[in-house]
Amino acid sequence: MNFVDYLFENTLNPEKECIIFRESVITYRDLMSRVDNLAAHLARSTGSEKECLILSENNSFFIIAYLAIIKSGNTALLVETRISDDQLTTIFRECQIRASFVQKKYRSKIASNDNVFTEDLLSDNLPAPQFRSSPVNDNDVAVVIFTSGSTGAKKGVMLTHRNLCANTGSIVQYLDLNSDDRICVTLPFFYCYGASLLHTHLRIGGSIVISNNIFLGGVIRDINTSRCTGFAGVPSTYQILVRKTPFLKEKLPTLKYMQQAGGQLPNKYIRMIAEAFPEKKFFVMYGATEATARLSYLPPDKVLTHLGSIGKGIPGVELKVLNKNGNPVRPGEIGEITARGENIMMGYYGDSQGTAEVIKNGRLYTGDLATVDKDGYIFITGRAKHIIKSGGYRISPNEIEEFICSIDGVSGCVVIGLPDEIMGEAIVAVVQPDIFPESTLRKTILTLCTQQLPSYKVPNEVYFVREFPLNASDKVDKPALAVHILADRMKNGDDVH
Amino acid sequence: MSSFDENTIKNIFCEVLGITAADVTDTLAYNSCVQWDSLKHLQMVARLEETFDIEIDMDDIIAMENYAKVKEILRKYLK
Repeated sequence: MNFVDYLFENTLNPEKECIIFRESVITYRDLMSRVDNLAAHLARSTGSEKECLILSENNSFFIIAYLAIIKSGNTALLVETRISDDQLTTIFRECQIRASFVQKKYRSKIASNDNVFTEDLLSDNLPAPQFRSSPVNDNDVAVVIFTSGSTGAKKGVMLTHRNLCANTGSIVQYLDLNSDDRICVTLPFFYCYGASLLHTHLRIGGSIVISNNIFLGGVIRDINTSRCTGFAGVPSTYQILVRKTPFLKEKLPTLKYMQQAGGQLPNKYIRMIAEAFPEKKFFVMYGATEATARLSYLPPDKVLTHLGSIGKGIPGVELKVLNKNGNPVRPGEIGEITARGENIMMGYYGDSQGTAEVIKNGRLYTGDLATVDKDGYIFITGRAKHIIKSGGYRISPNEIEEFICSIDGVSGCVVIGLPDEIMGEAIVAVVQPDIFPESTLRKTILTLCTQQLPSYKVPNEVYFVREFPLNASDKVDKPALAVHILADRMKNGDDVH
Repeated sequence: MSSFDENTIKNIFCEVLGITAADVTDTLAYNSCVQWDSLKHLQMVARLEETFDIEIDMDDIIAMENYAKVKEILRKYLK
């Protein structure tokens, strides 16, 4: 089944508000007719099974182009708007892009003049015949999401119609969404988390409120004005809201639930939010682009009793933490999170070797290390590639980060390993203090770490920053942070901080 | 209270957004400047707060949509 047909399969009320963006509202009827219109145009001009690029922020242009590409049996290639010119050139070289849908603001990033469409396309009022979806195989690739790899090279995650239908259905089920749901979206649709918000709310006939504010604090107004029932964020979303806005003091009367994924939110923030909004559900979730989006969730009533857990596999996903012998771990033992299900990607674009490294016997190896408690709840301990090797020990940054975050006066903490002549890697804690300058905080942190952590886990250096550099997924950009600190050390003669 | 200094503000814009001083005009705006996204905005606010030793209210942070407006708002906090 074509994924777009799946999304609109249950649309009962065509007059329902579908997309709300600033003052404009697009109903389901409007959206479907615009999608048909563009899909018919694409089918005529480019045919099907071709690749079409989208480079745009969240807006109705993105949504219409995205759905039309998929509906016409073509493949939508999604890239972040902050993509570098080199990376974009590489994608154009390695892919067979037949059409590009580019927001005017980013038009200068695209060298080609062939089949490049901007928002102006939407003002052309072509007749809108109903367009019958191009026939597809469930295993045809509908979307390729280019993820920000930490090594700089982008990997294109190929998702099929089957992947997208399966994950959308699972998420709708565990979040218990229905057509009254209105989600406030700040996360970009070009990444899997933002895309999952779009997919799930179209599937249930709900509404999508696009909140593109210059400052995240604007969501408080948007949630209230547009009467949103749901909100979604990555860790930095919630950390910014808690630290920089009156979020925790707000009532947000229409909001029923919040969802969080895209990395570990420090426990103290989970607790603050859960305690500030006891009547609202807070879903802690886990996933990967390679799994379309979602792999696990923690039921909201467990959020304080199983603090910091990513929960268990979502419906349709068999999630197992396996040790190096390939056996499920015992309680307390560390292993790698692996997953099987219809949501697991077809593979990386043009990279069969890379695919074979992460998908073995139909099972996705996520690279995330975790333990499982006696009730089966999973706790992430770190990323395999983030493990710090210091003085002969293999050290996961997460435990140290969580400990330092729990100290009064600390807003955020990221622990990285930097080259060290004696230790191999030195443990460096990069701390975001509540108040700048931090005065005695360095001493407090080092004292408490020395008292309460094993000696090999005590940071060699504590470094303070006002804001962490974030990558396009809004995760802390650890390589950029390392470069920044190394440069600062050179400048200051290697002995400060 | 720190004093208003346009050159300092302009330098912060140049450094955070990676653009030249000539690009920083009153019409430079969040909606049309490719480099100016919400994360850069947050970094810019942090730099302005740190440099001038001020704390900018949330409504003002939201209203700082173009360079002219940024200067107008900062004048409230600076002498």
